[in-house]
Amino acid sequence: MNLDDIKSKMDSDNMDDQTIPQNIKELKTTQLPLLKVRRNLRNEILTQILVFICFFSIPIFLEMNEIAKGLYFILLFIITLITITYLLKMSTFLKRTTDISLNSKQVLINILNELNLTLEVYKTAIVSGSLLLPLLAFVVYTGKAKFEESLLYDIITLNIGPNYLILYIVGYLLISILIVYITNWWTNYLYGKYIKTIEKTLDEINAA
Amino acid sequence: MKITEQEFLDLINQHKGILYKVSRMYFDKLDDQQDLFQEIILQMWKSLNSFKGNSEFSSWMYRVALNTAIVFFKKEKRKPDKYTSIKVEPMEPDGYNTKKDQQLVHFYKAVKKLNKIEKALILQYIEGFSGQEIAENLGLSEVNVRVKINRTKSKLQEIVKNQGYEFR
Repeated sequence: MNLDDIKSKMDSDNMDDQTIPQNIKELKTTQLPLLKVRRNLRNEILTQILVFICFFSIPIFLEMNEIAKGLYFILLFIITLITITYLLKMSTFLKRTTDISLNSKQVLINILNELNLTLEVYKTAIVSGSLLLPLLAFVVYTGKAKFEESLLYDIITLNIGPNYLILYIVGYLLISILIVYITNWWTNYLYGKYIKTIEKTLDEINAA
Repeated sequence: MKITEQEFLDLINQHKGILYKVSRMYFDKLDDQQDLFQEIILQMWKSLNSFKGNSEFSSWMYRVALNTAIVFFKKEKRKPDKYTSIKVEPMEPDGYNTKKDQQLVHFYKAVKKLNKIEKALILQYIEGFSGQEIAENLGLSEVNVRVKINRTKSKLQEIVKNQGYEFR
């Protein structure tokens, strides 16, 4: 194969298909994996905060006793605060850029590290925000008007039998494990492909 | 590097061929080529500060363009391609006139079978980069680059042969 021939043909190839834009704003949004993932994550966490804010209106539509309402708002406030704190942490983190003018191997390593780090921060944000959700659901359920107010009061003051206490603790732990598992699965399902692609390319560059 | 947006775009226009070749090497479909072409310009604009003027602008441009192509994530819709040694009908990539140059068409078709790193290697080799330059751009040793280039050339030759075409 004569690659010199190919070079001269490439040089004289018709390039009319590609045009330089009039200005940078005309360019489409980026397709680079790290930036795509970060854009999606930011939107997901913002959506989560909006959902939590909507949760504040639930007691308006559900009849709940006073203790339940108080607990509900305290828990929801804590959840929203945790998520907002993570979002703020992430927003500074999301602005970090990777220098694409380094050598290819270094660029791939940097992007892979940033991608893994971004996803870990995201998973922590989601898990920490979601771990109190089962308690919130429990308060909504036991705080319904049809139940005695003392039911929730007894649970809070631990005025319940050891069997119930163990049941609540084990139940909560199981739900927490499920939350962690689902978050990991969901993150890998949505973003694992980007990591795999970068890892594959890195393997190709490292192959002897 | 402190230049205005218009100066930057003019500079890109002068070296448009680099962007064209990289896009053409990495994607078969015209839409995908255009997306990569635009992405490269965007990444160059964003990382313009990293160009210190120690090397030619075109060398820096090559590096950013290839890195962008290597990490660019877009699933290409594949056309049916059997990759056999049976008689090959000229398969025309979008916007490309095969009658004009069979050799280039077969070359690009064969390049499709290479992985992202092999494409970067072969393009730099064709463009006349030295082993040292290629090694610096990819972050490999010169020895490794030489081995990889020889291997990639053989692979390319084999693919072209399997397409039922011989370069003269």
